[in-house]
Amino acid sequence: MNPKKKYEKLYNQYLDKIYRFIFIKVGQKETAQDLTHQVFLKAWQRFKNSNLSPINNPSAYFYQVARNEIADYYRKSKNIVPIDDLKNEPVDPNINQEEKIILSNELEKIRIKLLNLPEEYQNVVFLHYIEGYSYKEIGKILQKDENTIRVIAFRGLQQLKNLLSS
Amino acid sequence: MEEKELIRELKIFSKIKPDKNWVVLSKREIFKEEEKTQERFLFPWKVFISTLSIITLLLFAIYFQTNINNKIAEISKNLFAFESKDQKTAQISESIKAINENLNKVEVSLDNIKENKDKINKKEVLGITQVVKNTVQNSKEIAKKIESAPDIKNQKEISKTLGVIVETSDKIREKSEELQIEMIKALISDLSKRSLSLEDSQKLEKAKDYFEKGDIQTAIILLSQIGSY
Repeated sequence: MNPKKKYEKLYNQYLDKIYRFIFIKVGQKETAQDLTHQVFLKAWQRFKNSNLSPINNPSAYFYQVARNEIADYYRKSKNIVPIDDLKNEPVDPNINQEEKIILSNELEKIRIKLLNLPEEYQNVVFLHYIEGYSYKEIGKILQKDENTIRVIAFRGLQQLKNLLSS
Repeated sequence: MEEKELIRELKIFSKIKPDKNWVVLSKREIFKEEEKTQERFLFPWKVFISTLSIITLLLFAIYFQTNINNKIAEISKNLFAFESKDQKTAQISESIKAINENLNKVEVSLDNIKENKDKINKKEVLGITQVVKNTVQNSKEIAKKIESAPDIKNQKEISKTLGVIVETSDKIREKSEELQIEMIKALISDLSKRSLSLEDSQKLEKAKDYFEKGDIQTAIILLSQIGSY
């Protein structure tokens, strides 16, 4: 299989997950699209030269690039929203109907509270409870011990529950 | 909120999906940027050399056609010149020999273009073959005109060369048309896979119709008007 075909397979496998990850973090459809595009473009540039440094763990790689892109986006953005103010940030009006339903009321509240968790907790909650990855798989993605991930997932969920009831 | 309920609510986020149209566009863009990069950075010398040879081919084809057209103009002038019969015959004989030589070179250029057709922009191939077709049509017409000119009639050597010109012109025309048909089919196939504006889609449909009816020239004009392809 040629590199383009191999990469298309990875693209199809990870696109939705990475888009979701970014969308939940930025809350804007167009920004999510731009950042997701950048992730897959950068990954392809690395992938085609993979004889130099092969991508051994694609899921870890894609999420890492996505986290960097999100961090860059907030760093470059002049209107950095303090994490506590996110509760007042309106959801992007351009999001599609499906996203609107999902992010209505209660879910939007959950999304914003999720962003109030420490970043590591956000990522583990996202990967385990939204994407359904096992602790072992998340350990590989975030390069942490499986037990540590289990603890973070438990604490993350508890903190999120507390934030929602406060 | 209970833990179970929260987990259930979190699961709903997994339904978020990107727009299908955006997915297609994004994927296309990623590989397009890649193709552009390849064009810029991969094998620059190879690309340079092949581009150079293609340009040379096209220039040769244009040069020989221009020569033919100049000779045709000369002959037309000489046919009606008030010069002695011998002088006129000598001049025309020289011109038709030059036409014949240039026609042979056009044929070689055309064969080279055919061999390199994948490296040349299809629209350029269509344009150049159209010029070739018009040129050989002119050569053929002038050959017939000379044959029937009173001062030239019954001159064996000239008649023989004129016969060769007509024959070569027909052969070149046939080859050009074959190449055009091949290019039109490839161009239509390429364009059909692209997302075109409404106006360009309509032109493409019309081009297909004309091509199916055998009107190659109109099909070429319509295809050449489509976008920046």
